[in-house]
Amino acid sequence: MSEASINRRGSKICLEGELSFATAAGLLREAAPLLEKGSDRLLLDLKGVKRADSAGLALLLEWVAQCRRRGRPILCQHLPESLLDIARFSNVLHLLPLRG
Amino acid sequence: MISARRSETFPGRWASRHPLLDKLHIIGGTPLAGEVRIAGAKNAALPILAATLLADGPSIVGNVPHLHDITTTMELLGRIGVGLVVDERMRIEVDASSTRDFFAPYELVKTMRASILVLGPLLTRFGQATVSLPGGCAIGSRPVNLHIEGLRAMGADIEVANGYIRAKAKRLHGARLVLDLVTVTGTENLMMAAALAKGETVIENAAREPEVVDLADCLNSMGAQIQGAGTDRIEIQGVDRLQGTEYNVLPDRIETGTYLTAAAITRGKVKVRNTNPDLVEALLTKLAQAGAKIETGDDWIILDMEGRRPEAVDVHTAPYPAFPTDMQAQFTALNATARGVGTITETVFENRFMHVQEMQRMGARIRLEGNTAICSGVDRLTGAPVMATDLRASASLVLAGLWAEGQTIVERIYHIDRGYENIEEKLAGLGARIRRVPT
Repeated sequence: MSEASINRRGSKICLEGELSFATAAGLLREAAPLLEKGSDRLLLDLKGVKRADSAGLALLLEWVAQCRRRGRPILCQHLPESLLDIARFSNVLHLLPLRG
Repeated sequence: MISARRSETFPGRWASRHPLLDKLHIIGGTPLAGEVRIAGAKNAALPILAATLLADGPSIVGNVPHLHDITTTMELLGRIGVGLVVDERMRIEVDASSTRDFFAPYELVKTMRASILVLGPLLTRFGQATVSLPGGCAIGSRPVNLHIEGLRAMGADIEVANGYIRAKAKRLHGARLVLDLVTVTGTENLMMAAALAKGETVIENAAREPEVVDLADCLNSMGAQIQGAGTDRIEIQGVDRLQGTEYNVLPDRIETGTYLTAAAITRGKVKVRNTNPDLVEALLTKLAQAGAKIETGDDWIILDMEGRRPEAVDVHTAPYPAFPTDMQAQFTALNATARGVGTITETVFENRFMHVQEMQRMGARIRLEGNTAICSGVDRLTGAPVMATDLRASASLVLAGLWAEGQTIVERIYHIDRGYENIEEKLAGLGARIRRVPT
């Protein structure tokens, strides 16, 4: 069973579990209210992500695009190396606003 | 929006940066030393990705190289409607059950001739395909008429008009196909089409390359019945359906040969891992003639020049298992810096000595006589700005730069990026002084 969760912790939004084809659609729905509220800078923390695939990467890019459309700054941190590899492979690493 | 459709879960279509103008800066003179991991073979991965169109269920393809042509193929499959997911081990899961458009547009085919490889699978599985004719090619003519004639002999109704091949068939039937020329993609396209055709197909004068064998092995793992791959006669008993598979692409023999040749040119010692020595026998023979000490294991090769300058060798390109045309430019660089006189005779493609003029600008003493390059080696080349017009020529200039005095700047490295995964990182890992300069 694939599991993933998304929670607000202070100024951060923390992703945990699996960021993949199996969980992307659910995460997109769950994240909608978190992304819509506020205009302050959003920090997406992926420290708790155990597994990811290109569907997860597509989801991240969708969130980045949503925030940019609304003019809301967004940064991502603690991306797993596997996700960075997929971003490099897909030639989209430069589209991810990485912190640090 | 993200949806549940897998075709939208590969993000390559968002890519906007194409480093067409990047350059490589190389300071020559460092003997290469260390280990390098070889990627999967692009020329096997591309047909295998196309072959996943034939399966009823999802397939997983592993050991896929990180190359632009792979992302182009994924973009093409995505446009056709195929579901694609790249997992954390960089394996590609392909699900053709959602295929809905049987169309390969010019804008993609023009950037990658291998797009023609979807013609056979789409036609035999879905009964229709429209594929743009590939454009011209810098290294000589590579006609697609053999693909078309073969499919017609199997019962396809094909019209070529307005730059497109439009093919239809209810179900292809087996046929005896005698190829006028040895063609790798032609053999692969027809083999894939025959896998789901009714009855037996025999391909005579088939290409014998390991990448053809790898495709046949992959198809057989999906339930196809193919025998004789690796010989010039391939027999295919068509089956009604194929299932999904999990398959790892074979190692890239040209990348293997390129790093070994780089080590020989620089008088270095390099171990290449994740390769198959059986795939590069002709190359190893020539490298041994050049003075290299070679050791091999199941999936590795060590080349050690023991600090010596290589000896010039004579090379004659021919289809596998002979010396590959895709290695002649690199061996031109080897001969350019070797002791003695060596000849490189190209018999496979026309116009494949465009690297020679650039090497001459680096001080190489090379004379062209028809399809033969006669090289009198010099001890060191001299660095210069150079550029090339095809993949292997570009790689050969990088190799030449590794043993040139001063700085060599290789322009138009998008050619190299089409065939070599992270070449500057891998060479730097072996001690080369090389860096990519984005523009």
